[in-house]
Amino acid sequence: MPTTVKDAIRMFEEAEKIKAAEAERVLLYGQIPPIEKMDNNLSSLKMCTQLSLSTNNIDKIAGLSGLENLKVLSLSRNQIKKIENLDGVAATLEELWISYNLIEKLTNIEKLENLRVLYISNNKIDSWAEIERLAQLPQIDELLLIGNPLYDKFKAENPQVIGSTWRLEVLKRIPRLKKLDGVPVEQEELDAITQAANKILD
Amino acid sequence: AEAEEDLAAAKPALDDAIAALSLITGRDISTLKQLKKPPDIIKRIMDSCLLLKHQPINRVEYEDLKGEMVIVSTYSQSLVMMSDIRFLDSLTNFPKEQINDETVELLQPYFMASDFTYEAAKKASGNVAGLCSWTRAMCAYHEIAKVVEPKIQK
Repeated sequence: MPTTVKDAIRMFEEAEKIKAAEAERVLLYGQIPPIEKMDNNLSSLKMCTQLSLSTNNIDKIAGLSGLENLKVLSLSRNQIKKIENLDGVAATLEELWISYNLIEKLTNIEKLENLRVLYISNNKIDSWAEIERLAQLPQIDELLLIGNPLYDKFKAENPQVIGSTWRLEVLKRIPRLKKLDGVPVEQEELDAITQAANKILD
Repeated sequence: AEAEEDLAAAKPALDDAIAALSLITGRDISTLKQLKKPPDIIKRIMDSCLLLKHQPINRVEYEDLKGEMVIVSTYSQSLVMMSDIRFLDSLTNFPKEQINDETVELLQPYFMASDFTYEAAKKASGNVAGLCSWTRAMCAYHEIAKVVEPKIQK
């Protein structure tokens, strides 16, 4: 029997001696046995700014309506295939931690208009078209892509110059990034992209 | 100055972790690789290194180990990691300023296990136990640096 969201919230309340409805950080990660379903019990977390559900076996994002203050959503190391059902938190969500899942497409990501941070290492992203969707996010400044097929393939094909070429290809598409794969973006990298673009124009 | 004091507070733990790391030799790693049944705690310590290095890890599952439910490790991937002759160097020179909050959270379920301590790991497998202190110190460093950095930038 998997742990339910309701049970996990109850255990969090007992351990932290706090009412979940009044807590800003609600930490439900690493439940034994793992949580498999997100449900409407989450909507009672009215004050929650950070909801952590990492290291479980969740296969679908759901039940997030009513979390009017949610800024950080942590769903890393689950079994999620799609970015969906985030409309209820799209206006406030600033950070999405979703590494170690099964996401192939970034459909719907453009709805997250306040998203600053996206950690999405070790998923199934396989094409530049998916990365290009992120350029539509007006606030995005930190991105983690290590361990996706797109990254691994690029690394295999460009073994000598992995750092720089990979970074330039991503930055060319999302020039407003301040940090990529954990490393701050340098002015020289942005200059190199401008130079390359000017060459093509000449 | 306050920021410097905060960072100084993190230093002893970091120094200990680096010292523990320096005790591990290439020979310790190759001995470990040859074990048919490595101690379970060592396999889970290796998982924590995989996570810090953003390397692949299996979906979470638990198994009963002497009455305690612990995470089933992704040891096949750790064997690949240890086969790189630069493995120990990559830890000694680990870019700790690149650690993020997500990774720290992914390590917590490992840290919660009662045997995830230097002493227990040392008993099970000698010097390689240094990796246990090291992963914990990396997370502790991140937590302190996160508070200190904004103060330095001011």
